[in-house]
Amino acid sequence: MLVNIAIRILVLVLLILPAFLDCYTKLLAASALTLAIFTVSWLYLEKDLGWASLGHSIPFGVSAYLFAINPLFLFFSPLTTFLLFPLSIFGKHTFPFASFVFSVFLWYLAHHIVFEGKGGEEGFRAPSINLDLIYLISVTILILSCLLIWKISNSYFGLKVKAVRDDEIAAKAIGINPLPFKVFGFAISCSLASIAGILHAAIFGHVSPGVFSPYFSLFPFVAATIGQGKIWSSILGSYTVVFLSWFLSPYVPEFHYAIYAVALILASYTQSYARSGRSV
Amino acid sequence: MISLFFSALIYASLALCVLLSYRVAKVVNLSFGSIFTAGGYLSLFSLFITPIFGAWIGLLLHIGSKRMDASKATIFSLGIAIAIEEALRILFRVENILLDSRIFYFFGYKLVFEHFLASMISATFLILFLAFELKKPFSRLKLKVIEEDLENAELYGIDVEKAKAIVLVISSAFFCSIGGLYLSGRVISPTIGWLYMIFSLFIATIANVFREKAYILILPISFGVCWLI
Amino acid sequence: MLEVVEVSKMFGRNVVLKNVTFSLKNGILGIYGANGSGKTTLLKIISGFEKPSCGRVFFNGREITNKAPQEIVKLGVAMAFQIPRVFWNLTVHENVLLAARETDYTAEICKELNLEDVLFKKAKEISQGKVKLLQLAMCFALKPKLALLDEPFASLDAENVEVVLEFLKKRGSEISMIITAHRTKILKTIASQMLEIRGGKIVGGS
Repeated sequence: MLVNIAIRILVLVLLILPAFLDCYTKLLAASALTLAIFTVSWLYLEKDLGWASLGHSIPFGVSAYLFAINPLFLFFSPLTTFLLFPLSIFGKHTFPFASFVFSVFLWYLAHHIVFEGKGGEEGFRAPSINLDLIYLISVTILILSCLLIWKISNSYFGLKVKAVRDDEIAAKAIGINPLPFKVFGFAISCSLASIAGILHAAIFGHVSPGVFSPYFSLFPFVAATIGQGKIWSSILGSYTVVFLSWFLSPYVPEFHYAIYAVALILASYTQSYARSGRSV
Repeated sequence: MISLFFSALIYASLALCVLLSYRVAKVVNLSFGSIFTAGGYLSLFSLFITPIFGAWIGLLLHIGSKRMDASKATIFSLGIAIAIEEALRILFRVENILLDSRIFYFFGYKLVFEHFLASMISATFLILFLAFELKKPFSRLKLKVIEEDLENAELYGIDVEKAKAIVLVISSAFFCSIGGLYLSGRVISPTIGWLYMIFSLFIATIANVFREKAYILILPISFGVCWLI
Repeated sequence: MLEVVEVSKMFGRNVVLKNVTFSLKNGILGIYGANGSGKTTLLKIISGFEKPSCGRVFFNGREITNKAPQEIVKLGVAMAFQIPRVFWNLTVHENVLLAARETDYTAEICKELNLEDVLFKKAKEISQGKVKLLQLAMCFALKPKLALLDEPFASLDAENVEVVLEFLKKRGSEISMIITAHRTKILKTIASQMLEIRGGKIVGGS
């Protein structure tokens, strides 16, 4: 109980404090914030719908690219749902790996995306927005996403979503059509991931093929593993990964991958995937 | 056409390793990409250490993922993949390295010697496996039983853990060796192996659709995919 | 109410049901037969979880042969599976509430089926017998016009068999039911009609 309160206070401090600090710290905090939104989107898909995506960089990266190519394209970003959702035909156990493989494939493909003579390996320039403004928007979106997910999760509608997660056949047996609930869940998750991608592009003013790399694909999984699958701790986990990576990468190249390796290996011993009912 | 054929041989053998890992060891071994890359880096020192390193990683994977279900074992292999990649990044600070190669002429076609060697080793591997598949009925039956149901196989006295260990060790050793040879003449980086692994995974996935005939059809499928792409 | 017309089902070359024809106007129909006789397949075809190889199914004059299960539920046909299909990570209360859609009726059904002591436990934490009762509760919480019960007494102890029998007898006046079982002894105590199914065919009835 006390630990939960302490975590929530720490998260609030991490949200508010950087707004009053120097530009570099604000940039770092903004980066962590967008990735926290990204993690929250992933957590909703995994916890409430039972689909653990290892390719969540797909909606994240595609939206960032769309925003960089033309800011008006950001209104198409919820359609990234239809890039990730079709992979659900592989079933819950194979979906994580299918999504990971697809995100790696997009990573290689992104090196060849050229538009009006720009892009390729160098990527695209994105519209850059004032850091203070983007920080405020990011904080607002993080709080609103947490509230939205909490509201949906605790509603009767959210109960139906969890029922579909647990057993689709049982859901059909009580008159629930699983498809709209699955699509809805994916849409919410992908839309939030898309928003995170757009914010990420806006903060750095640039997007490159690296946005589809395993760094982003696996980030929410790792942050959620550190946070033990709870929303507030996972937000803290996001901050931990970003801060450790930024501060230690000059000494150990791309240090975040060391955290990833440890988190993945530990997660394989502790976590369950493809959340669904026990098999009878 | 000749180089296409040799590439198809290599990808067929890599896909066979992926398929065996999936069907026998019950793991989609995502560390194959990093093992392949490590083979390239290790070839800077000596080609002979590549199968040893690969075998060691395969054994580590087997020991680490004992009694895990398929999903967890695959996540574990992904963790190993990232760990290998990071280790390569730390040890070889230079981002991109150009590996040496030797050129030779095969019936008038200019080929990289190491690639030719890789394809010959792949061909040998495929032939040996097919011989095992077709000529030893009881071993083949054991393999089939393990593929069908691990728990039942154990109940009827088949040493499943030994079979899984053999598959993982041999497939990882093979991937590392082929990586050491096939990456010759290329500029390598720690992430280069992902594409090769995905390509092999793609061929293995198509072959898997054919169930019992998968092992026999893997070479034609590989050839078809290489030709299309 | 229910009409099954020349329904056959094949799985590959294995014929599971052959030209099954019967009708049920109201009351409780007991279908008995050995393992593999086709009882479960028949119920799954009626409820929409399997499609027949040929034949048709009508409910209240409407053909339901190729309708999706959730649509058939809305027409008033509910099924309780032999191997329970429940929501393992939700509590017993949440499971029944999803089907009932109202709290008062949820409480009533749970009380009648002896589930009050496990109401706020997750389905994966309760015994197999209680899971069976939960499955029944969910089926009847839908307020169906026709309930399809596949081996409702299997895995139940004597006490719970009595609870279920009482419950079914009480509901039998309002809801038509098709109940399958291996043996006739229990079925005869509640069923108004009986059918024997053997090798996928209806061979006898009373």
